[in-house]
Amino acid sequence: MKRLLIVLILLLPAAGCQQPADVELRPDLADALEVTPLAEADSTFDRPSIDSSAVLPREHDMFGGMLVVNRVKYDAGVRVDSGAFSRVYFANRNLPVMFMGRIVGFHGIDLGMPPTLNGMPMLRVPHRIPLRRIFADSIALAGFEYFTNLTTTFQANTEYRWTASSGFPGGFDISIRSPDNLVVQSPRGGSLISRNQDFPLRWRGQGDSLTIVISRFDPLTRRVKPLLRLRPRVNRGHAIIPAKILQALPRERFYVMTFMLANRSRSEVIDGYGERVLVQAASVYNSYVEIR
Amino acid sequence: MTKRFSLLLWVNIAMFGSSTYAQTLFSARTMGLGAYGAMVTDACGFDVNPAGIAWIRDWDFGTATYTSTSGENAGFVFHGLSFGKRFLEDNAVAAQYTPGASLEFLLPTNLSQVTNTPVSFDKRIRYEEPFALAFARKFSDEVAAGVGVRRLEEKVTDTQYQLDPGDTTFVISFNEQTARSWRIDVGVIWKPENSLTLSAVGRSIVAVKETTLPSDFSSFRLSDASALELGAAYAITPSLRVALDLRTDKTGAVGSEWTPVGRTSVRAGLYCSTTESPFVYGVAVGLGWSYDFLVVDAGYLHFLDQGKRRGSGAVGEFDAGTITRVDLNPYTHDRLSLSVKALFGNIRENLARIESVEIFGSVYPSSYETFAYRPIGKVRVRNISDKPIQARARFYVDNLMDGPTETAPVYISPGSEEEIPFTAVFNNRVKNVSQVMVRDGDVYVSATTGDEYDDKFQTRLLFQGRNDWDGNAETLRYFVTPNDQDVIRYGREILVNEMDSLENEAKELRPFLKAQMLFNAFAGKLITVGDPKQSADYVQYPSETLKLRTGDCDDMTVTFSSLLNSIGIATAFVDVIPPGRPERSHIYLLFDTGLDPKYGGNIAENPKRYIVRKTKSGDETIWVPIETTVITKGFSATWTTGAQEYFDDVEIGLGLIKGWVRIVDVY
Repeated sequence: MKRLLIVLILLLPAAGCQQPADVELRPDLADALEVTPLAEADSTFDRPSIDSSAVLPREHDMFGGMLVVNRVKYDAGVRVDSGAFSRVYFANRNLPVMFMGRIVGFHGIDLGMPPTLNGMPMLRVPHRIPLRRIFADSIALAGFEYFTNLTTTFQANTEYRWTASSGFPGGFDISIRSPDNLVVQSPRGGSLISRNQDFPLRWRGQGDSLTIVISRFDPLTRRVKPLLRLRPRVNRGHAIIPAKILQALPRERFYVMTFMLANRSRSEVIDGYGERVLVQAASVYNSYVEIR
Repeated sequence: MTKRFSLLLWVNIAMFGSSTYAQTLFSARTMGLGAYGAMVTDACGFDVNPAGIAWIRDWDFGTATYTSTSGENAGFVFHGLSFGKRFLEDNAVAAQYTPGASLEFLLPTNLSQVTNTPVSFDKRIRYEEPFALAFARKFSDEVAAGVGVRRLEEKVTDTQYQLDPGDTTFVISFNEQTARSWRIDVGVIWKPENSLTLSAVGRSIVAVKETTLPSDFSSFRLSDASALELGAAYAITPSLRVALDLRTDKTGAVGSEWTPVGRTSVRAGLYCSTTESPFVYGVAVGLGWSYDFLVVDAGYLHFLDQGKRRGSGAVGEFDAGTITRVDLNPYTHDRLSLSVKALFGNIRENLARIESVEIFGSVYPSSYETFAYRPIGKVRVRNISDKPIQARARFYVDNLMDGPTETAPVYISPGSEEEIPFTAVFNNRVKNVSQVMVRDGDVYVSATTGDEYDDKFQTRLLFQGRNDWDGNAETLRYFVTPNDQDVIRYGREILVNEMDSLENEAKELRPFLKAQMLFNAFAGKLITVGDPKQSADYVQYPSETLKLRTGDCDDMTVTFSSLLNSIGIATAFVDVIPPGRPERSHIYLLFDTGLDPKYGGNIAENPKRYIVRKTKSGDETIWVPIETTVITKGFSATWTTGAQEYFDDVEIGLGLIKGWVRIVDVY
């Protein structure tokens, strides 16, 4: 009996059923990135690509109207192009554009009197809907949209106001502040990036709304397909793309990294227009790179 | 009582290598002490020093559990089991199964919106020491050596991502890599004295690698550098021990164990390192309690700098090279540990210890029988247990004794000392010792029944030659050999020749007349040589004297006494040591005529020529003194001289009353 008791006492410590606690190794938040894969957009329902619009493909479906002012740079290494524009578009959901039995877009609402951007009337232009075909793409014109070239006048940290007195019962008066100027130092356009190593990102531009989109780029068709969205946990001007993420990308070589510093208002409602309206001011920097 | 202090001083000094292994925290006693290298005596601590298991009693079982008191994890973790077994007296093996000896790191993932497979980490790094084995051998009560083998496993699970272009989602897979190796330690323990223990451990002397982590994960490999640890332990008092550890990785520990009551121990330890801040980076306390063969220990370890010890750390500060032990490293939490140990088996715990042995002088083969009842020496025994004991001493001399002679049990209270006199029953071979020699004598002390002993002491005995005599009249009688065949034959031959003359004499006078006949025949054939009685003299046995036909007065006295005893006539020695003149000491003989004192006139007109003494039966008879130094002058002269001496020494000098005359009955 005594020995049985001893055995039981000996086994008592064995009742401990917890596992030793693990140790979480916290990454340096300054370099940490939150990585999200992006759903593919409908290939026949083309939209302004992310590299120019700073709007993700699926986001186009979420908003019927857009009021954007963007500053965009294209860094291909040997050549850097930049421009700025403002675009106003309101989709008429009652007038879809059909192509081969599928909705490929909507007519743009004619507001009548063009809206003004900071007091300057915007230019009314046809709303263009690209149609992808097997052998050749074409464009369908449906309705109108409004455009202003701000290449020479765009300023960061500046308020931009759209005002319209027609098109909707009460018109609209919407403003947004442009973000800080965004300059990407790494990767520079034309960079050759190794998949087997972590890649450092560096940029200048303050703001918490920095987003980086890695898109596959087809030099022939110049089509851009967004694949991943990266968001630094803290915008300190630098981050690191783990080699593991680079290795996860498809084996194609050419990509564009789109850095976007955007101020957004997603809940804008305009009386008389039943859709959600995206209001955005963005600074976009596209760096075209090769990943091997 | 001689108080014996024992000091256990723990010193571990690492000799080389930039990193070494600190001790395990398997045993709560180990953790509470902080320093354990020279104090290992069980299977719970052999991974600290494998040589320690040489002191396992017999069967040794242990188990341990712990819980972290810092960090978020609650609940006890089963640390493991230990087992040890002693075999072939001086050997021992031990094993540990330690599933709780593990350390795991998680690097969180940066991914979101992944596919169906949930991913909680980007990398998982796990280190385990699942089991260990050891063997040790005790080369003597002071020295033991051992070898230990520890299993180490390093596992890295790396989450792999692949972007599915069609689905634009991540496909998750896991790349698992495991490195397995064996680390071999070698340890030595040396006890130059009861109070001091020294140890040396070669840590990871050999690293046998089955597999290694690929180069992509080389930053997660643990160091396999070798190191040397030296330890010492010293007990200030039997109940207070102090320990000190030093290691080559510039770490160390100081600890102490106090046993105020026999079954309870209190421990404290400090963990130090010159590479940590503060220098004393950990503090430990512990309690121990034992009952019969069960030992329960508890310990608590607190780290002064919690830094990385709360379950998280910066990935940039992670350095696998700083992790030298999965149990004790910069990420170890504060810990409360509980261990239980049970000691089974037939190996007894020593309860008594020999403090000293004293032998009372030389052994004279002539009087070897006296040591059967007269102590030949004494042993001082200490009770080193916490219970009273009945201690028995045994004494044995190889070849000269047929077996150990054992004393009666002596009661000794806990912690006390007692002197136990012991005797020796020699066999007849001791009478063959022709000249002085030294022999080893083993003294054993045992506090339990059975043949096992608690302690043993080897002493030296000086054996005199068979003819050596210490000058004591008491021992001279051992040279009297009435049963010697030569003596019997000699006496018989003489009396047979005189048988006719005895028949005409009165029966009462025959003993006297026989003695006279023997004396005349004996004295006429011998030549006296040598001096009167001396101390440490050489005495011939009667057979030798009869053969040599020469001898000194001691030889004559012994021989004539033997002759008389062989025909039934009792004799006695008169031992005279004149006060202030020991050089004049002398022995002469008395023999019992058997005559009733009323017949004294039949042998002598002068009553001063004889002595009336009581025999063993209580009757008074007439004893005749004879002086063998004048043996050649005939019986009458020896009688006269002897009577005169007796009259002077006893009647006039009152020697018997004053004590400088003794009468020693031979038989």
